[in-house]
Parts: sequence; C-alpha cells; structure tokens
Amino acid sequence: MSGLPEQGETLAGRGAGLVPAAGAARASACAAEERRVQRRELLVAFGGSVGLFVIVAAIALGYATLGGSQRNTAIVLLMNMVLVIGLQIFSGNSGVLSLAHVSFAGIAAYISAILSAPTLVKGTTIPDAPFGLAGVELPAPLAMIVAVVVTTLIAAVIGLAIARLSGISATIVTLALMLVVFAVLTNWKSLTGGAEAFYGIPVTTNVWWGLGAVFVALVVARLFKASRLGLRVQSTREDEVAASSSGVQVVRSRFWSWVLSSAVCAMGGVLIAHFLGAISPSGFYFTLLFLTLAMLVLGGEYGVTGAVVGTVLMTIVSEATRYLGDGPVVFGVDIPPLAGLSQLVQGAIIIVVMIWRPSGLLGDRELDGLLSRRLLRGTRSAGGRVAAASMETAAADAIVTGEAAAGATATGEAVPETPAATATAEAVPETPAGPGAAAAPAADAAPAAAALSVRGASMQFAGLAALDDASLEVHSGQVVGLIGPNGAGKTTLLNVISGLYAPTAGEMTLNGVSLNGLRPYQIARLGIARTFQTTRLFRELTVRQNLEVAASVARGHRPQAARSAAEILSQFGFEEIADTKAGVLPYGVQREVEVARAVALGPGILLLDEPAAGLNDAESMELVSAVRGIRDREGCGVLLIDHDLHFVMALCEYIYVLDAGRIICRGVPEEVQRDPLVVAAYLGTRGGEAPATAPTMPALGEA
Amino acid sequence: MLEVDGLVVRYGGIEALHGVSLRVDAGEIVGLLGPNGAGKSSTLAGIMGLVKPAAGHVRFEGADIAGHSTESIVRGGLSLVPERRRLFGHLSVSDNLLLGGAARKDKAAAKRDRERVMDLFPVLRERLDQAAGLLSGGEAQQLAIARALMSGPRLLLLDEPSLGLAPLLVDKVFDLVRTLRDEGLTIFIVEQNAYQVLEFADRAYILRNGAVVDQGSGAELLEREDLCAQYMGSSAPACKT
Amino acid sequence: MTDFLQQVLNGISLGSTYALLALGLAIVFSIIGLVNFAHGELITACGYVMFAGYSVGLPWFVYAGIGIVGTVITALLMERLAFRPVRNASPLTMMLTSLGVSIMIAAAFETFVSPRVKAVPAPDWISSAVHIGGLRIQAEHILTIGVTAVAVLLLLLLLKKTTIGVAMRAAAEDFNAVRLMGIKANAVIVTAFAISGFLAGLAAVLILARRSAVNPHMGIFLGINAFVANVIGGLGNLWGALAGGFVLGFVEVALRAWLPVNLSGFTTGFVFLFVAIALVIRPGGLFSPKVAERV
Repeated sequence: MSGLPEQGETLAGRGAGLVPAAGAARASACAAEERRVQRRELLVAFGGSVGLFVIVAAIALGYATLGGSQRNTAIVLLMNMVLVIGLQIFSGNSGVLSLAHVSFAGIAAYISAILSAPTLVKGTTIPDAPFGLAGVELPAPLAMIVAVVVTTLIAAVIGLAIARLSGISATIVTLALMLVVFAVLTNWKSLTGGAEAFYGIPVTTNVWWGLGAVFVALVVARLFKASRLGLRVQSTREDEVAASSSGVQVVRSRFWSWVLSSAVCAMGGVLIAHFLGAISPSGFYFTLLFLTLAMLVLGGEYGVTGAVVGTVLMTIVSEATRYLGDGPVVFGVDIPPLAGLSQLVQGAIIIVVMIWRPSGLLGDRELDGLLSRRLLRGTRSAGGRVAAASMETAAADAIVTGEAAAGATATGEAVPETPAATATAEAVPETPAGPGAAAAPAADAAPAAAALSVRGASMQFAGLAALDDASLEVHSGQVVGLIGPNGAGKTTLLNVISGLYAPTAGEMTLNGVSLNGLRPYQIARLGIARTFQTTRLFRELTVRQNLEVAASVARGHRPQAARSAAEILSQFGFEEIADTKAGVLPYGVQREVEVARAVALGPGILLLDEPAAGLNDAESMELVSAVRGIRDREGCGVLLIDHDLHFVMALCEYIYVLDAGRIICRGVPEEVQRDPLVVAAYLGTRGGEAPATAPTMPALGEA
Repeated sequence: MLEVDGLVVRYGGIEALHGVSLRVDAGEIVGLLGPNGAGKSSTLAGIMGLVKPAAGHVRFEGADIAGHSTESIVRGGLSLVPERRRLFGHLSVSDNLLLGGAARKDKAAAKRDRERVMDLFPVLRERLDQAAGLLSGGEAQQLAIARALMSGPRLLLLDEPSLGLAPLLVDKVFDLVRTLRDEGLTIFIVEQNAYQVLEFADRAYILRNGAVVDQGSGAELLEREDLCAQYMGSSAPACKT
Repeated sequence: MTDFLQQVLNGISLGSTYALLALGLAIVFSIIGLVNFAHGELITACGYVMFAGYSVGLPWFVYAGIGIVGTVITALLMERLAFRPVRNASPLTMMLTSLGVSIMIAAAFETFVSPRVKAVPAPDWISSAVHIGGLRIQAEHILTIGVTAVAVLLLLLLLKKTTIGVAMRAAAEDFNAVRLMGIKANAVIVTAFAISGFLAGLAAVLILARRSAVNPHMGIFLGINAFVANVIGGLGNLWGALAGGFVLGFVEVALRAWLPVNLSGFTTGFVFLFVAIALVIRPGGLFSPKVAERV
C-alpha cells in the first residue's frame, strides 16, 4: 500500500492525537492499547463468573445442607448446570442448535466408567472388552481426565465436518449424531455392556466436585464469550455473510466453540457417571436432552448467566412437578410413574418462551454487565444515545460525524469532546463540494496502477446474464461511482468483488494480487471492506463489538492499517452508543455503524452499496463530506453504488454506468450526464427522439 | 376512486414515505414517477397492505382500507402487478391465471375474464401449459398483467412494468395499458421510465425522497425543464438540451 | 434372487410409510419454513385416538377412520395454538417451538394415559399372506403400497387440479405474491397442515397395523425418519421427500437384511451416519442442485 505514509500523516495532521505518525509505531501502540482493553474485559468477565459462582455455590450448599435427597438434588443441579453451560458455549454463541451435546456427556461418562470400574466387576460385565480394557482400573480422577480429553478429541474430529454447516442442516446432523452415539453405546455390547446399566463405577462426585466443575465451566464459558474468538463466533450467529465479509473465518471460529463446548459437556458427563455409579445409554438420550434444552431456552441461550438462571429455575420446576407426580425418588435412574408431567411442563415452557420471549428470560445479559453498568457508569442509561438519536431522526436522520457530536450535546451530559471527533467535524467544510472541482484533479492525480481492477467479469444466474463482461478500476484515494437502473447488476458486481459470488468469467486483482477464487473472509483480510444494501449489522452485538469484530481481524492481518475499536468509535462519534445493541438503533445510525465497521477493517478499498438510500437531500450532502473524510483519512479507494444521481454526481470523481450487466458508459460526472445512453437508461426516451445509440456504441467495446 | 392521504410507511426505523398524498379518479391513467429509492414501491406496498402504514389514510371508493390485509384489499377491487412480476415460475401459465382469479366469488365472470385476457394477450393462449418461468421477458410481463386482471379489478396498479424489457417491448406494454384504460379500467402506474409514461398519462406525481415534489398533467410535466434534473442531478448537461 | 425380491418388496412397503410422513413434513416446510419436530407425534396422536375407539368396541376400519380425522384435528390445533404465533419468527425459534410441542404431546399421553404400551389390534387379515414362488406377500404390504399410491395420486391431483392445491405450490415459491392474488394466507397454511395431518394419519394406521400397539414415544423416531427422508431429498422439495422416503426404506431394509448379525443392532446408527455424511457433503440434499445464496 503506497498510500500508507500519507495516511499516517493525514491522521496526525488532523490532530488525532491518539495516533502517532509512523505506521509501525502506530500499529504497536494500537496493539498494546488493545491488549490492555481486552485484559480489562476478560477481567470483568472473570469477575462476573466468580460472582455467578458465589451465588450458585450459596444455593447449592444451602440446599445440600438439608441432607438426604436434597443433597442429591443440589448435585444434580450442579451437573446439569455444567451441561447447560457447555451447550451454551456452542449453541448460544454460534446460534446453531446442537442436539448432540448430551451424547458427548454420554461418551465421556462411558469412557470414565469403563476405565475406572473395578476389574472384578468388568470381568463379569464386559469380559471381552477391546483393547484389554477389562483389565484396566484407573483411579477415578485420572479416568475422568482421560475421558474428557478423549471425548474432546472425538468431538474435534466430528466438529471438522459439523462446523461447515449452519442453521437447520447443522441441527439435523447433530440429531443424527446423537442417534448414532446412542446406537453405538447400546450395541457395542463388548465395550459398554449394551442397553443395561453399566455398574460398578466408583462414586466420587459430591457437592464439592460439582461446584468445582461449575466453576471451571462458568469461567471457560464466560471468558470465551468475552474473548475475540468468542466475539467472532457470535458475529457468525448474527450474520454469516457480514461476518465473512468482515474477515471472520466462519467455519474455524465455529469449530473452536464446538470443541470447547464438547469438552465442558464431557466434564458434566463424567460427573454424572461418578455420581450415579451405574449408567445406561438412555441416561444420555432424549430425556436429558429435553431437560437441558428447556433449561437453556428458559434462561436465554445467548448468555452464561441465562444458562445458570435457567438451570436453577427448571430444577425448581422439576422438583415441584416431581413432588406433584408423586413418583419414587430414585434420581435419574428410574422413571417415576408420572415422569411425563415434568416433560409436559418442559415442553410447555419451551413453547411459551418461544412465543413470548424467544431469547429467554435474560437474553444475552450477563451478571458482570449488569453490575459494571450500575457501578461504573452511575445512572447513565445505555439507551441515552438512542433516545437522542431518535429525537434527531425527525430533524436530520443521521449519517455523519457532526451529527453524533450534536447527539452527545443533546443528551445534556458532560462527555469530553475527543480530538478525533472534533477533527472529523472540522474536516467536513474543507472538502470542496462541487462535483466538477473535486473530480478532475483527483482522477488525474491517481497513480497509474489501479488498486482494484476488475476485467471482463461475467456472472450467470440460471442462464440469465447478470453481469456481462464488466470491467472497472478503482485507484487508491479515488471515489468511484457505479450507477445504473434497477436490475442492472450493480450489487452483483459488488458481490463478485467481495467474493460472495464466484464470477463465471473475469479477472480481479487488488494491488496486483489476484482475488479470483478467494473466499470472502480472505478478500476482507486483504483489505476490501464493504457495506450492504439492506444493512447487515450484528444486531445483538453492541456497536463496540460490531467494530471490534472487524478491528480484531485488521490487527491480525493488516497491522499497519489497524486501529482500535475505541478509536473508530470516537472518530464516528459513537462513544455514547458504544454499548448499545446495534439492532435497536435508528436505521440511519445503523447505516453509519455499518460504514464504521467497514472502516474498522482498515480497508484499502471500501465498497458501499447504496449508502444514501433513505436519506434526504441535506443528509446526502453530509454523507458526501463523510465519505470524502473517510477516503482522506484512510487513503483508500471507494467504490459506491447509489440510485441517487445527485449524490453520486456530487461525490464521485469517476463513474461507471451499468445497464443489463454491461458497462455502457464511463467517465467523469459531466461526461456521464451528457451521455444520451445514460439518460435513456434512466428516464426512458421521449417519443420520436431515439437515443443516439449508434455514435456512442464504440464506448462499449473499450469499457 | 383512490385517495391516499398523508401516507407514512416505515421499515424498522426508517421512514420511507413521509406523508404522501395523491388521488386517482375513475377512468384515469395516473403515473407515479421518480428515481429509484424515491418511495414508489413503498407507496404501492402501503396501498396494498403489504406493509402496514404508520400513519395516513388510503380510501378506495370511499372506504378506508389502510391497515387491511392484502387479501381483502385485492378482493375489494384493487390489483397489483408487482415489480419484477413475481410470477409463479414453476407453475404453468394457465395455473398462474387460475390463481389470479382464485379469490373471485363469481366463477362465471372469472371464466369470461380468462377468455378476455387471452384475447388481449394471444401469446398466452399458445403457452397455457408452459411453465411461467420459461416465458420471455415480454411474455412474462403480459402474463403478470393478465394475472392481475383475472381478479376483476376496478383499479389496476402497475409497478415498473418496463423493468428489464427491451424498448420495443416497453412500447408494447404501454400500448396495452392504454387499451385497458380505453376498456374502462382505471390505472395507477409506477415508473422510473418517466418520459414515455408522461406521454399517455392523464396526470402524474413526481416522488423524491419519500415525498411528492411535483404533480400535474402528463403534458405539463413533459414540458418541464427541471424534470430531467430531478433525476440526473441538478447540473446534468444532458437535461439542458 | 427371491430373497432379493422379498427385500425389495419390504423396502417398498417400509419406504411407503416413510414417504407419506416425509411428504406431510415437506408440504408444511415448503410453505412456512417450519421444520416440524412434532410431526411424528401426529402418529402417536392417531394411535391413541384409535386406542380410544378400540376401547369402546368399535370395529377396526371405524377407529382407523376416526384416528385419521383425529390426526388432522391435532395437526390443525398445533398450527393454531403453537405455530401461528411464531409464524414470522426465525427458523430456530419455529424449530424449538415444534420441539416443545413434540415433548408436550408425548408427555401428555404418558401423564394422562399411561407410559406403558397400549394395544391397538389390527384385523387378522392384515397379517395373512400369499406365497408366489418363494415370495411372501402379506396383505399388509399390499395395503401399505396401495394406500400410499392412492394417497400420492390424490395429493398430485389436489396440487395440480384444485385451486387451493395450485395456491399451495405457488405459496412455496412466493408467499406474498399469493396474497396479492387475494388468496387468504391462513387458508393455504391451514390446508397444508390438514394435508400433513391426513398423510400422517394414513401412515399411522398402516404402521399400527404392523405393530398393533401404541406408546407415548413411538412418534419421535418415525418423525425423525420423516425428517431424514426430507433431508435426503432436499428440504421442502415434495418429490425429493417422496424419493427420500423410499431411499430410506430401502437402506434400512437392506442394512437389516444384509448386515452381519453382530452388527445388526447398528442399523439405525448406520442410517443416521449415512445421513450425517450426506448432509455434510451436500447440505442442500442429495437431489437438489447447489444454489448460490442471493445476498
């Protein structure tokens, strides 16, 4: 990137004091700052899990001291909690419902059982066990550790396949997996003893073991959720396309959450084995699956706190129904006569929660979040900026930085004005607004080699040519417009460039590096960032997290262009909404956040799909300055699509016109506006005035 | 016949229409023109109940239909030819027509209309058993209009009927629209393709950024110097000619 | 050779019931995108209605008929009470809701009837058989294949020749465009559930003719098989579901017949393993072309 030194200078020159001029120094300062931020976040998350643990421990110990069956109930509560938290790590973060997690608990339980049961017992139950297992007798703790490790490895192998799937397909595979595991446990008689109970397992699990496991599970789950990897997984849950276009490797991040969650479930499984002393395959089947699912769904699968709360509440409900059902009190082994009652309630709870509150009682709220908001920020409401922004929507709905500063003032709070925000606001009037003035010099000054070059891109959809031999170039520091009537193929071209579609023909390069055949996340990591026509934010994540997803990718892959999420937040004036969920923001602000997320990727090329859609004239003109501001700061090339020709003509230095998949015209705004073909494509032709098709036709060939 | 009064349409947080008012009288062809993203389709969606209006009234023959279900609005005598046609591509031409008239009580009238639209669009008669997805662009547009006519509407709404059609076919579609009007149908046509519509529309409204910015008779608007600039950017040299 | 033909016959017969179940699931999915985990519970419901009919002394063909009607009503109640409120929610929410329905129905029979198996005897003629060469053809085979053939034919007629059927096919393509025709959305959805209930009822009668007993949890596996058949054929694709049902039937029969005895317990395991692998390789189903997602 030849533009980098200037980029650094520009930033320094604009008074963004946070940023040193030299790129390398900046990168390392940025990385150090980020490490500090992340350490703090993880510390807060850790504090939250400790807090949760204290509450759980108080409940469990309080109940256990009642003795007898109550103690067992407390232990069962803790074991179920481990399973639910484990399930949360995968399903909650990735949004993919897994039905196979009880199976991992089952596999681990059996491994630990087989390894630790006395050889004397195994001599009668599984004398022909393979690998000479009948003669092995490990101490229970060692067996448990081996079981968790082996189960995790098995889960990892399976995860290689499952992480590739999303949504319903993934769920169906996990269902199939659960049935396969059950079939194996039931039928591999020489190893498991078959459908009958496998007995003789040393009973070691007590309340303390349970608490220890819950502690580990809580910390792992909560830290994972707060980690960068966890954040990436959550971004894939919110929007897979946007995540991969922000540089997230969807499959890999999903894979790790799968492995981690299986490990925690395996831990729950071994506890169950060493609690019951005798296990059967049906103990890790639909009954346990439904129970843990109901627990997770009730509390809210997006959060660890939700998993804990759901487990506690469901346990209370189960106890109550068990009491009503008046069955024998043999835990987990025998089904009492009215066991149906507790499942009836589980089913009802799932339905009611889905209808009234699909994200559960707590949603993704965490204890530490609730606490830190109260303690650290005083009474400030997180929604303050939203209210302010909504208020303004009536007057001027949004996009630019100046507005955000106004928003901060409007809330009437003492928010220190950051240098960056001021700088942006000042930057606005500096840029010449006249289309002609900006166009010519910038086009001339552009370096000879284009940053982004598309040659002869063609794309077929079911035999229909959406793109037909389209070529264009975008230089660093240049704002290029792509216009054309509805259905001309503009968005298709953007999707081809960002790797969402594989073109049927054509060559694409970024600074000479071929983009052909690259996946969207690879293209994003090379520095092509984009926004979408219909905003695709990570709706359930905060604005800060939205930016952080992209910023963390930039740190890993383009350290010289990376900046911290905090810096982008202040650049766009988002400090006030930093901890607000993106999905609840007014539409105009959402569009702004999406642009900011793209900028957080430290792009060399920025693709904007209809950034002015839904804006009025005044807002569109503000957007003109905003886009130029970004271009100046980042030194990036911008390729944008818009229908609003006023906006495009005012902003862009060079314009390509696409019609029916072909570039029919290109040039500076005046040339394009003068072209009768373009006028005809947009307005149609007046009767008797045939467009001057013939003379301009040659332009097609060279495009 | 149709009165839209202060129609506001929101999608999530965004207000796509900020109070659009317009009127279509019986027997007229009225155009709703404007660049893309102006809110033309949102206006139609608000009228047809595809999106619940956030504010405003839609009166059809005196009755307020704002907030009614799409199904009941269609049964009440409005019919929309949607943007990009939205034919049932896997279904035969004949089945597409069947569904167009499915909601009618009067089966005899539906049968008569079936003959009538096939007289109007002879090509459809030849293709009755063909899958609608295999029709050419022009044929598909004819089927879309025919399908909308099958519900026996008194007001026909067309959303960008020229989209994706070659100029010759566009002429043909617009000829058809005139024929339909001559047969007594009232027509409300949404187009980006302004010039041609203005040549035959009785009246037209110009929409920009979710609000009506101009209105007048077709001939009036056609002579307006600033019309082109509304579309192409205020300083567009092509508009000066 | 005779053995092979015998297994083919068994495969067609078993595949037929799976196909009926899979079709019902596919019709609903194609229209509202709901993966109905509770589809199998329709069979359980049919079984208990038949059990009630049998208990009061009705003849088989009467309680079989009442069972089918009861299944249709159950399907309609599911739609009205559980699925209509989440109709516009995310696929995950809909799927979890149906899981809740599935759990509830099974548990309701367990709680309010009995967790134990209840007899629903089939008439004797159903297990009678004729021998042609070495081939043993049971009345139950003929009934199953015949009923399935007639049901599929009727479904075909409904989908091709009636307005509501055509509207259902159209709704699978573009639901809102169907509403633009003035056709009521609820009418289409309710019909889809009624059909799925009817087909499940038929399947249930045939299955119960083989098993002669009902228990609260019999539906879940059959439902899962319907599910798997759909996955094989590509979710929401009716003819794919039909084919998927038969493929599943054949695979199951083949594994049961030719798997070494010491592995026979793994039949279902192998079937699901096959499905899991198939899905990982072709997430869109075996018979559907790979389509790029429109963004």
